[in-house]
Amino acid sequence: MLSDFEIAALSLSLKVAFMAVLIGFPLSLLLAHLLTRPRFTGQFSINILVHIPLVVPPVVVGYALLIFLAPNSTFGSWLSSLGLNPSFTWGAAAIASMIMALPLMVRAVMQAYETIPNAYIEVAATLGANPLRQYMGIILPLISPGIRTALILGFARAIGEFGATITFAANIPGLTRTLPLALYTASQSPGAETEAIRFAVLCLVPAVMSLALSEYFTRKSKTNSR
Amino acid sequence: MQTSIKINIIHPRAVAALVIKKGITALIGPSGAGKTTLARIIAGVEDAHNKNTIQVNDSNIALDPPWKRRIGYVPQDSVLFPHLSVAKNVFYGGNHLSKEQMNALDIQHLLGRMPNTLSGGEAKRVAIARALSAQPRLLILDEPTSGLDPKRKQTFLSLIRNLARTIQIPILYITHDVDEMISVADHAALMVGGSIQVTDDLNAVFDNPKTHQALGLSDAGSVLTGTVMKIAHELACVTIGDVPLYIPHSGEKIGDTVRIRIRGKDISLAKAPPQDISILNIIPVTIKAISPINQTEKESTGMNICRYHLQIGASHNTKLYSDITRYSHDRLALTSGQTCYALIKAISVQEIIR
Repeated sequence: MLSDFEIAALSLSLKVAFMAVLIGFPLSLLLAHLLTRPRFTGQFSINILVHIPLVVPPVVVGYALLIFLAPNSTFGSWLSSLGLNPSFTWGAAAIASMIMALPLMVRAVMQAYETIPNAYIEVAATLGANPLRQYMGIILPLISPGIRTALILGFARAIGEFGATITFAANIPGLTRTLPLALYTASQSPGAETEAIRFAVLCLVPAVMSLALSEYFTRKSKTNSR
Repeated sequence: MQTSIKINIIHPRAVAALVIKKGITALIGPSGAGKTTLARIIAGVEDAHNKNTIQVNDSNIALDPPWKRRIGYVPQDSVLFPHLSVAKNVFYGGNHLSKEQMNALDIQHLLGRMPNTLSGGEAKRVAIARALSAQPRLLILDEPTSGLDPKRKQTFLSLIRNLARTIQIPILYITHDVDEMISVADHAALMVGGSIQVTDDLNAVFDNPKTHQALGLSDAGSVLTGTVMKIAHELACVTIGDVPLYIPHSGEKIGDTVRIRIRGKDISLAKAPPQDISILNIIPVTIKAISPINQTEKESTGMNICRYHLQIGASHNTKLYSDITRYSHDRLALTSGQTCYALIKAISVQEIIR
């Protein structure tokens, strides 16, 4: 039913998006925690930095990553010496997707965070709970709807990522050619209209699945709270 | 082991020097006086000056983070964790709740429920159980009767009194309601404008002019403690020292200790015992002092009123206040040291069930 090319692009897209969420999600929990805490020096800069991918063209993010991590840059060459340079590998696609998905995930968690009255945390503290126990036992369960939103949005954003990926990870078949990149390639090749449409439909599948999942959880949490 | 807690706090919105002993200490004051801020500083959830001291058995806990203080704090709106069952809420901070305490709080049947299915009163009881379960060294209840209707309030207050008898932990009870203070407290601290003004046992705080001033004329008066001796004609006869006083009977039994509150404006004075009068309580008193009522009260009533400080009998120091108009004062021409009769309508006596 699916061609080898299509299967390769689909599985690569899934792998890249899962990896992006796997790294990005814990990072977004940490960032959301830092950004909702009482003010500290550097908080504003972190906030701006995290949100940049939301407001600049994705190509800019990809290009910045390219400059920063290129094998001939300072940081990039150090990574290469460790054998860890991700440029032009599927890891590069994952990093690009992660950075593009990060602000969405951070925002979703932050919004959930802000709905928790401080009183819960204060009472937990007076009951003897240290900050770790407050976080694990009170904050994390209470922001779980926000966490679900973050995971779904982050995954959807990562799987649809195009501009940063093509700039940073390039468009290497089987290695960094994710579904959107495959669709772009097909759309640029004369006579590949059917192929392009098939890729477009394939792109829809994970997107529709995440939306359905999100809807399912929203309904479930509504019935639970009744 | 008896815990007593010595507090010395200086904060822009709460200045306090206070000793909290076993039993219930009412922290009373008008809203906005800084009562909650003080409670939050003691509990450690409000940023405070590092020169404050909170001495629990001679160790200062004012620099400890809240989770090391073991101060039970029940905020006004209970704040039960919504994602945990009642049982998990109660045992969140420990499982030191005795059967006796659980019965006193009447929460056994609620343990399997979720917080959003509880009524306000149930949630409050669960929140108190949760605080006790963590074995606190002080229990702070912030306006615990807010949101309860008057009938449930009475039940709740007697529950708090029962609870106070079963635990060794001192309780700081925050309220702006004088009746509530009289009903539950053994000691009291008056807080006005961000600082504690008076701290003493209940009667002394209630007798203090600063309390009268802070709480307004309608609440000024005295609190008497007596024993029910006789019940007849829907009246209870209570003896204050050796003076009998008739009050409306509302369920108390012979031998019960009751607290009675008499407002200054409910006491009339007579030079001689009047005959053929409906008033049941005609009590010989000695005038200790006569003072003009303070300015704030004068503004609220718009009248010149004199406050008589009276003493029942000669031997014991049970005090009463009588507020009468300037005109009556001039007509009677009574002076300090004279003996006269305090006339108190039985139905104007407010009994606080204990």
